[in-house]
Amino acid sequence: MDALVLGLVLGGLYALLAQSFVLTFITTKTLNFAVGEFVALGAFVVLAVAGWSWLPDVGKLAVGVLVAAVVGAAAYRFLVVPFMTEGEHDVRWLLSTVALSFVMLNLITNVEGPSPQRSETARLSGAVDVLGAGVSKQQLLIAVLAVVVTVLLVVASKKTSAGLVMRAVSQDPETTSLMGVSPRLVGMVTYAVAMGIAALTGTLYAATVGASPVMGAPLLVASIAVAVVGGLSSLWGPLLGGALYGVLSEVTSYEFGAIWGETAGLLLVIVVLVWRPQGLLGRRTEVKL
Amino acid sequence: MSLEVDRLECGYDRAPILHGVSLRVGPGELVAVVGSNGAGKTTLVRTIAGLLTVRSGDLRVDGSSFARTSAARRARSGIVMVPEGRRLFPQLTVGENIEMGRRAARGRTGGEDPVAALLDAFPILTERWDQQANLLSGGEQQMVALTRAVAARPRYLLLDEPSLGLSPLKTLEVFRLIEMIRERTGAGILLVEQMADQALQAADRAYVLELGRVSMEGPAAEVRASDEVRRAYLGVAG
Amino acid sequence: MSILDQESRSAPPTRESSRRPARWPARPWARDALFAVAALAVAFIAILPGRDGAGPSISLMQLVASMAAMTVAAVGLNLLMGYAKLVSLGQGGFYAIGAYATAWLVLDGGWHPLLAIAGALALCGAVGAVVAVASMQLRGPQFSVITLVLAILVERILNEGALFGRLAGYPNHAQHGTTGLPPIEVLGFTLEPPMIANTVATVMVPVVVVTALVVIVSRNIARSPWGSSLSAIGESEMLASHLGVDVFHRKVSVFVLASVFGGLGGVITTLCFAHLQPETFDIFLTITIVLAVVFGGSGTVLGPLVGAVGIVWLEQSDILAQLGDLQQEYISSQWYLSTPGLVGVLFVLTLFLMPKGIVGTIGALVMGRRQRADVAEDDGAGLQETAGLPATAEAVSDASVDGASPAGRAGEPLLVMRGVGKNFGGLKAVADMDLTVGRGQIHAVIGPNGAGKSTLANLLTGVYKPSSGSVRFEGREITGLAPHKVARAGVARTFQTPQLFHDATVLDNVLAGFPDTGRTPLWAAALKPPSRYRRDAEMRAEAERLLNLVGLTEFTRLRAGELPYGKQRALEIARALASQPELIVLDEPAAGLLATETAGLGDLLLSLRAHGYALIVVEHHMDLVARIADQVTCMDQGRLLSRGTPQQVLSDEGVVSAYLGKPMEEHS
Repeated sequence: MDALVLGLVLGGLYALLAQSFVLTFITTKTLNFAVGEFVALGAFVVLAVAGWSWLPDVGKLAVGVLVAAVVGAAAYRFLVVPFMTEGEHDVRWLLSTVALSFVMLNLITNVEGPSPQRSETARLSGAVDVLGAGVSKQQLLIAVLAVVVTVLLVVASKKTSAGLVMRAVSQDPETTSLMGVSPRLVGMVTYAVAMGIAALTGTLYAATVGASPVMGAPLLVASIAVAVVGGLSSLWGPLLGGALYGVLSEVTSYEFGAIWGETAGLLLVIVVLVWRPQGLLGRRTEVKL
Repeated sequence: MSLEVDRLECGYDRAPILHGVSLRVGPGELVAVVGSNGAGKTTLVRTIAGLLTVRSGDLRVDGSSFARTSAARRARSGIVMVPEGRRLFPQLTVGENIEMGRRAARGRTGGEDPVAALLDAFPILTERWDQQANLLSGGEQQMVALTRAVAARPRYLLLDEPSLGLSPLKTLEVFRLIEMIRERTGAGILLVEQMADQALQAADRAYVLELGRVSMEGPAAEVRASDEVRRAYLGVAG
Repeated sequence: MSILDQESRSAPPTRESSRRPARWPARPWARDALFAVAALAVAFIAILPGRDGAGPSISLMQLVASMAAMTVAAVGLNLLMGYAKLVSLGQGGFYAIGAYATAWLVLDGGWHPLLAIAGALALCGAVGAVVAVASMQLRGPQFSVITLVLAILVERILNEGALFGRLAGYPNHAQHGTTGLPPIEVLGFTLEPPMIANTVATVMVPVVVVTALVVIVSRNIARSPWGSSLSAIGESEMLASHLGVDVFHRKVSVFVLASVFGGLGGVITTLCFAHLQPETFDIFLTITIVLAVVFGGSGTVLGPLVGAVGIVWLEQSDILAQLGDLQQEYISSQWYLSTPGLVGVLFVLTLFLMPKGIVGTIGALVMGRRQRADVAEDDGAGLQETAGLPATAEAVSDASVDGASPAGRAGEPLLVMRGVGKNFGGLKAVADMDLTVGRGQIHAVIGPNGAGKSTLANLLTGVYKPSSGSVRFEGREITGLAPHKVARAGVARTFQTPQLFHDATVLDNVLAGFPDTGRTPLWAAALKPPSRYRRDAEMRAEAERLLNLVGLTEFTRLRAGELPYGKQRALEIARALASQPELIVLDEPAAGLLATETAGLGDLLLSLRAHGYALIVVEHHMDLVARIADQVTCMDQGRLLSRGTPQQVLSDEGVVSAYLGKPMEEHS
């Protein structure tokens, strides 16, 4: 039972970050492999402004999110757009975002040093009892936030005009441009939002493990896995994928040891991809001739 | 005051499709471009709409060139295209599709809502308002596509094969709608059609496109009466 | 035979070659032998400084060993990524499996080292096969993600599995009482790793020999019909299957092959360094292998070698570190990039400035210059549009000498379609169509846009499975067979937009059309037995005959993408002929052609009929149809509207009104 609750909470963390993969995939059919570094970027920016005592914690979070959003939009414009020009088989953007990840990781390490730094911003201390399992408040906050963010995104995509544009772009970017909307601009905005979410995740996560350059790496793997399991084209996908992945890996590591937990999670990805390449909630894209 | 295509050359990748096409659409004018498959009709409208790049030649509206602007900007300035095969957003509802059309008209509001008149004339649109677009029949989809384009408040409307895949009866209905759009919006319409006869009946002027070149132009009735069209399509005169 | 290979072949042995300057060794086997000798020579020169085992040479030998390991892994990845265009981020995982499995089998398993190596490679192949079967439905990013997941999974197991010593590495003092594997002994020789001063690093000899062999074998594969099939898959899987390639099977094979090469890279690491640390097998490794391929030139024979040597040298030399120091000195002591960051920058710069990599860029330059020279030689005459598609009487008589063409059995029905229908969702694209085509017949299919003609062509060639009805070919049921099986049965096709390998030469495009592309076994491609040389020569002669038939003789060595549009169509027809089909389905062959070219196309199609080929021509140009067709089928709204001779169909009022969109009553 403990493992189940902890797995769900952990799944929440992955689901929150997975949302940034899903967002960019829905609108641009690309993934940013440097998301892990945006997690760290957010955490360190917030750390840098932690001393601004006049700014409430929410404001500090906002600074971190904004910086990551701007860098994210620029990354899309200059490192993704030039490398996705040759149709759906063109995956050079994948290599360029990996390269970006190297550069950012290296830069952050050189500037901040490799060891974790304590982050107090937006930090809840203590634990609460959930169905008999002790869960740290911070982790619970992240999991709850994952649900809130997902619901907000779903509502926004259904009810707002920006959401309408996003759905239109995901279905047919060319026709969207005939409606006076630039798909490239939509992509930049989406990247900004997605990297903002990554930065938010990073800040809240840093409050539990400290801010370090490599803090995003384990999250990256798990959240790609979660996004793929849930379905890269579904906003609800991360919650389902996160729950499955989190519970499976937590229960497995509880029973057989930590190493098998992650292995089981990643094997889940392979099983799901074989069975449903589009993910559990994903929409199958028709093959056009 | 017109939309002008001036010695346009373009094509996909390495294959040239258009070899110096020139034509003109005046405000409120219905101009048909007819020609067999592969003549370059679709390439022509896609280039005017900004989906293909111009290799040489120029595109002008009211005298100023727009050959280098993006498709989105052209749509916002009132050059609106209805693509071949309708291209509705399949998972959006009818209402949302039409709402997307309105995006292109932002900043050009005022006057009566052009969509309202169409909704009055075709109550089926209101009935289907909340239905997902890919569940509509071909004829209904074409109506939604045209309404979506009208919502963009076109100054010039480019129609690519509106009759494609429709039964003769539905085709008639679509042509009736096109006629109505012209009356209500006063937009200049460039109609690219394989169903030459109907297009030429509806149009004021016409161009015959053959192998990427204009082989004949003139008043639609003249073109319709000529052997040129029959030859262009069937390769046989008379 | 590779299609994307930038290096050109020797001049073909035709009358044409007399006009061109002779290339170095003209005979294919001599060129291959020379390449092999050169590869081995480079390999041995690389280890010469280590022959005395002196202290300073040890680090140099380690550098060579790293380069060799990286080269082997990159060569494998290049087959996958450069030719088949499957971007795998999992190569580092196979590298790690190869390294650890070898060490573990020797130390804990007590296997003979050679057996352990074989076992490790087999394991890589097996894991590769499982991943390949699992991921072959995925495209683009999803495929990359699953391979990345594999690499990370392997890294985690190595990092955290107690069996492999975790961070203490493998082997380690606590578990094995030593930090190095014992040198392996083979046939009484001790193969010393380059670790100890004043001991000759004998293991380097087999290592560089194997590396050279891998490069040679990969060159053989890349230039074989097997390699062509990979390029075809990279271009379009649909195209590949129409060339008779079993795409699924071929993709799994190449992935397994790449995995084994990846593992071999790891084996070399184990042999040369005797100790494994999990952190050297991280994501950075897998990305470095990808970078080596991209940097050197993906899809070229020497690219991975050049890239691997270059990257390893960059990473291990002081240059990047010094660059880092320079930044610290002149820019900021904090805001600077050190080695991994600079590698990232290099990666991005390569993508921006040199997307074809070092070898690819140089190759393109050389080829461009050669082609300009060729065109000048031809006085430009060949590029005139007026040349059209000549299929002269001479060409016809040339061709009929060959017994391969299916003449002589004209009349008996070759293709019989009965009641075939196809629904997409609720839409009936084709309903209840019958079609019979005999040998030596041209059957034209016409109809207005959206009538279902292309769907019919796709039903015939296996792209779509019919919802109802049956298709029989040569008395055999082919209903619902996959495209590659239909192709192998003897149905070739061309496409609405010519689907060619634009960067390959005209000759290579035709060569890709031969049945060998789908049928050559991997071993024959890799080892290149004498029969392969004979077959290559045969294919080349036949390809030139076909190019002559379609009027492209002068363009043999031009890049296909530089042909005028009309000639691209002709080339596609030549490629279709290369598969020795009985029936060719041509989807709008005259689309986009000029009037003169269309006339030439008509001549060509008539000459094909004279050779006994059956043709189904989906077409809009009525003058062409009227001229060449024996029978015409007119479709409208997915159904048969009219059938008969061209005169009958084209004068049918129903057909006329369907085309011109006239309401029927105007005619009554």
